[in-house]
Amino acid sequence: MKFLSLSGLLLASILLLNSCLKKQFDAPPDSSSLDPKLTVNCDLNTLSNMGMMMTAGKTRVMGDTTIYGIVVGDDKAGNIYKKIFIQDSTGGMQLILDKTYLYGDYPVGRKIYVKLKGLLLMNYKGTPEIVFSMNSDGSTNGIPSSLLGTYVVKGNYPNTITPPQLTLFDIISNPGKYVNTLVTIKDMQFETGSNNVVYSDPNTSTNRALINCAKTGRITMYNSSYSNFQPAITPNGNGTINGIITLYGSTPQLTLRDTSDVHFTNPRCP
Amino acid sequence: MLHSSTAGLRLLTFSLLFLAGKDTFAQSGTGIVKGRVINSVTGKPFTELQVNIPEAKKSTTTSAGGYFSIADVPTGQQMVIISGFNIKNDTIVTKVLPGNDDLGTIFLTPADKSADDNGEIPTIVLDDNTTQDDENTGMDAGSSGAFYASNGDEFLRIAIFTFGPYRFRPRGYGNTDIQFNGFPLQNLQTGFAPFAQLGGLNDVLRDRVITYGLRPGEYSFGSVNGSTYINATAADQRRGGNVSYYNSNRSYRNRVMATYNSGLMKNGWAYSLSASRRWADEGYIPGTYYDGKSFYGAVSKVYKKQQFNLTGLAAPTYRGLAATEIQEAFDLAGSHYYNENWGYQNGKKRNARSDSSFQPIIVASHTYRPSDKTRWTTSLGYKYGKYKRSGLDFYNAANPSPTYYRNLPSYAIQGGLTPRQSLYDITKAEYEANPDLLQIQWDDLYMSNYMNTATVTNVNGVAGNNVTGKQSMYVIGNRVDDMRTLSFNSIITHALNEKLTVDGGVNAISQYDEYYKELADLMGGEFFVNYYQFASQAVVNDPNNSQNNLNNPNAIIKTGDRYSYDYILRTLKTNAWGQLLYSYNRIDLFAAAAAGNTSFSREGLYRNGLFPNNSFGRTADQTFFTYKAKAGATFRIDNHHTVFAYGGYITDAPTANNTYIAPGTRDFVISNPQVSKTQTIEGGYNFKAKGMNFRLTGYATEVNDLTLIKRFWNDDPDIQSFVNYVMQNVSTRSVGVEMLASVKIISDLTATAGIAVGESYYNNRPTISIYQDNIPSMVPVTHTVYIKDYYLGVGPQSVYSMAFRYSPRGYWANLSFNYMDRNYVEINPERRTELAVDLVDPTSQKWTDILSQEKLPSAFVVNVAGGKTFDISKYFKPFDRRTQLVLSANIGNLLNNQNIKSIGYEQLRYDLGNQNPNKFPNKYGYAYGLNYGISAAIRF
Repeated sequence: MKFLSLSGLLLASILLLNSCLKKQFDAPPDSSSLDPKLTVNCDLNTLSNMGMMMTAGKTRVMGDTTIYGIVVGDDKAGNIYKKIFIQDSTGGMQLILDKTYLYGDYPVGRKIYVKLKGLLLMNYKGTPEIVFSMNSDGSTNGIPSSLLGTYVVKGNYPNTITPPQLTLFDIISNPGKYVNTLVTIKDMQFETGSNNVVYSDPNTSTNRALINCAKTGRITMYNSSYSNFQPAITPNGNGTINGIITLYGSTPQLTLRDTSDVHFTNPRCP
Repeated sequence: MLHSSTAGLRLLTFSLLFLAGKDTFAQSGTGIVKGRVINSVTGKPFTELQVNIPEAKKSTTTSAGGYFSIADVPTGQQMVIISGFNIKNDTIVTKVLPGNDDLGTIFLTPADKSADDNGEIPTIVLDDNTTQDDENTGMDAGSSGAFYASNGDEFLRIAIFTFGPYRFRPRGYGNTDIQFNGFPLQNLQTGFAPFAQLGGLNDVLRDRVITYGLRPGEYSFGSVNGSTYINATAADQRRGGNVSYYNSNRSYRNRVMATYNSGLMKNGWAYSLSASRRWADEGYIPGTYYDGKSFYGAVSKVYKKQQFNLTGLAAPTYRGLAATEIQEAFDLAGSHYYNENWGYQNGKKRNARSDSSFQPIIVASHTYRPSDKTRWTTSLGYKYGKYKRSGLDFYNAANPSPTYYRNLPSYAIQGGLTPRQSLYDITKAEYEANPDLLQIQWDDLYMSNYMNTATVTNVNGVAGNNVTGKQSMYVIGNRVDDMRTLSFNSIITHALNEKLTVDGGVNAISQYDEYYKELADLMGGEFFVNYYQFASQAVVNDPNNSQNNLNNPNAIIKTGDRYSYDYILRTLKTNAWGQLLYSYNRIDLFAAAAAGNTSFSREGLYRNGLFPNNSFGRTADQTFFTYKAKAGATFRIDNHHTVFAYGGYITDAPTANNTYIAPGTRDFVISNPQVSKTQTIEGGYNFKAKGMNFRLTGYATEVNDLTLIKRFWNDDPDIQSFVNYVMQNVSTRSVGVEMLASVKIISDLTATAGIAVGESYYNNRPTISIYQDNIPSMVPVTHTVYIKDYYLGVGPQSVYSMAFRYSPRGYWANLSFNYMDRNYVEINPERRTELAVDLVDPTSQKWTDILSQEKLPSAFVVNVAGGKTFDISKYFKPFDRRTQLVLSANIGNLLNNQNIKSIGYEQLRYDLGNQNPNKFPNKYGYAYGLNYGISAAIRF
């Protein structure tokens, strides 16, 4: 009977001895306010101009250069795919990253640093961009997800960038100044035919055209069929629109981040 | 011939009456008591049992043939006590007469397991601790092999203890029929018995009656591979106690266990208590952990010819799981025990995939024995509780799996038509230099949730009810099975006369399961939303498509809330069976039959946005009538040679899981569900002689009209959906032979050889219908699958074992050499369709790569084990005479072979576009290298 009490005691102690196996985890601290403050030795305007001056399709291997920028365009709505747009006070750049749902790591408003050493600056049909490498067939690779931590250093969040309030004429007359940056264009509306329709056909990505009220200018908006606003209907009215400027040759195009960037609440210009 | 094969009967001390003629010699003096002890389950002799005649102070042990003989026993009434680790003590009172008194053949049922297995309930190592990748598994969930203990039967002992860890399945069969005090343990909806729930209660679950193959069982008709009956009432537990500690490097590191059984007391009561704890902060595979507690309590009351029992057990168990991987991941990690399920969070390893189980069982049973010819047992059992399995869920976010195929280096080669070698080289070097990339990046996932501020509109379907906050991109969700099972089972055994015995019973099982997903951890976010992300763009665009539950659209989900799916399955299974056993002279005959009914229905609690008219509410029952029959004959040629032949025809109802195409989202049923039909024969030859034992068995089984549904996540950008492969009219065949030979080389040394060689394969070309969860059309893509003669993935189909056992008094040691081969990966049926090889040159390597079935490498392992029993009352006075210290140790895979692939399956994703079988290569799991267990137990 001694054993009975002995084993009872032993058992009670082991059953109560729970602490060593607690599988509870503290949430990691929210480090989004941290800025590693890396030394930056190039601004985005300089880098962008370097890319603009290259022949389309050409690349240049970057040296020991570090840039920074605030993310102004991400893939949260699915219209931007495997790339992000960053911007500093001087200009903008797009980074081609081989990963989806980048907004989880690099949401709009996050400051990031990019160590460019070994990456390629490329002129893609007129628009400067940063890619990882080029294949023998001329296609390029984004920075592989396994190497993102090597090249892209996360900074603080959130930051706001207030886009400049521009007219369509401002952009058409000097598109290179605005390439890869977020802008607000005043006094715009969808061109007849591009209004009151879905943003994109369900199966193929679709161009929609915007015009200014005076109908003196026109800019194309490229909408992905994979965007989550694909079935949304383009508004009829007039107003301001935010978007990111890219170049096709020397023609500016507008990339929408989400439909919340479209503020066409005024009556349509006749 | 004495027959005491039931546990209940062993409670009674029974007397033997001897032939009257012998009385004529009655006079004072001495006599010889002899007899033979036979295992009633296996029909094999019981060796190494102690036979004691206390009054005469005489004892001996039974020989290899089960014989014993004690001379110079005083005449008169004598108690003969037969005892051993394998059985409970049995007492025979006999009147010893001068001369040669033969007690005849004594049948005993094995109870205790012998000490060398340390009473372990065998678990299949990787099943016990591995999840297949739920999103892409080629294996049946929970495809654990049959559950047998193998006390008496050397062949089953080899099959389960030696080869079980390498996923050997006897005869390639799947599930078996298991009862716990009459309560059926197998889950009606999956067909599998979650025997891990019995873990840690080894002390009180030792009494198992195993019927292998088609042999007649006493407690049920059985399945094609037999049945197991665990007899665990309080009255049937060995009187005394046991306290033990076990240390191992397997799935758990430590186990403590304590048991006390009162035995049957003078007042007719018996009680039994057992509790244990098994735990490991980290098991053999990194990131796995284990925390299991087990409790058992039982009382019995014997009143005249009635025995009342109440038995309960509960085993709350919480485990961190391992994963199967493609070879590239093992190679990048530099380890065959790489586990992608964990990552560091705040410096601690956190495993995303865990399971927790708490499903207590309580059984009330009653046994009535009007005479020693009849036993009638009735039980009422109830099991309830939850099984949960956790995993990472994500919405509008990147797949967080560290081995997501698009991120691995091989994607640079296999992802498109043009290989990108330099990209492959660079990324491969990065993974090798930075192995943490192969683990979950918890901190990044939390950060994503912290930063993702979003507004959900019209929450709960209320216009203008908008919620803004941190919407989690990543969460931990539990898939929950909340079940209740009520079972009634009544079994009768009656010996009509010396030659004829009749067994039979009726039973009814009602099982209720609610399946749903439950949010377990928001991972730093404030809420999740009950959305479905992947409604196909091919369907008419409708905002309702993204609603998991239209009855409560845009629901905000917080910790503990349900999401994704919620439905109930109700199953009722009734069955009646009977069998006749006839034994005369050299012939034993039996015939058994059963008939039953299985019905089930689905009740959806969500109105799914893609299937609004086929998801909510209860459907009509699916009902199936089943019947079974088997018969056989055993012929004893002489005392040494026996031959037997059995045959059977069995129908089995499909399960709900194999009838509803995708019960999570809709109530669609496969076309023409039907019962499967199994035809089976087995036959064999036994030879027994002093110090020798040989058995050769052959079997052939064909199963027709099987339905198999395989479900997996296909993240091909054009599909992005759970996909259901419904294979109907599948036919499989298993044929093979089993051999066991055992020879006593010298008195304490026995050599045993066991061989099982079989072929289990698909035997026809069934059709496959492919249904996607994200397209609500009912028109499936249907193909013929050319899988005839492909092997089933049922573990090694050839196993060979050679074991030596040395057991002088008080010690034992085992050494075994074991070889296994012909372990085939489970195939992906879609790769054997016309479309899969359309326009591929039949003479090309590509053709071979697509169609061939991989055989996993053969493997050789050496196991050793040993132990000693000490009578500690000799050393420590306070202990009473029965107290024993039992030390034992075992080492598996002594040569530390870490290259044994025990699991292999083809992923169900197939790159139809490029017909590239290497884009989604086979997944594997490796068996443990050197593994050990040591234990110390005090029995009193």
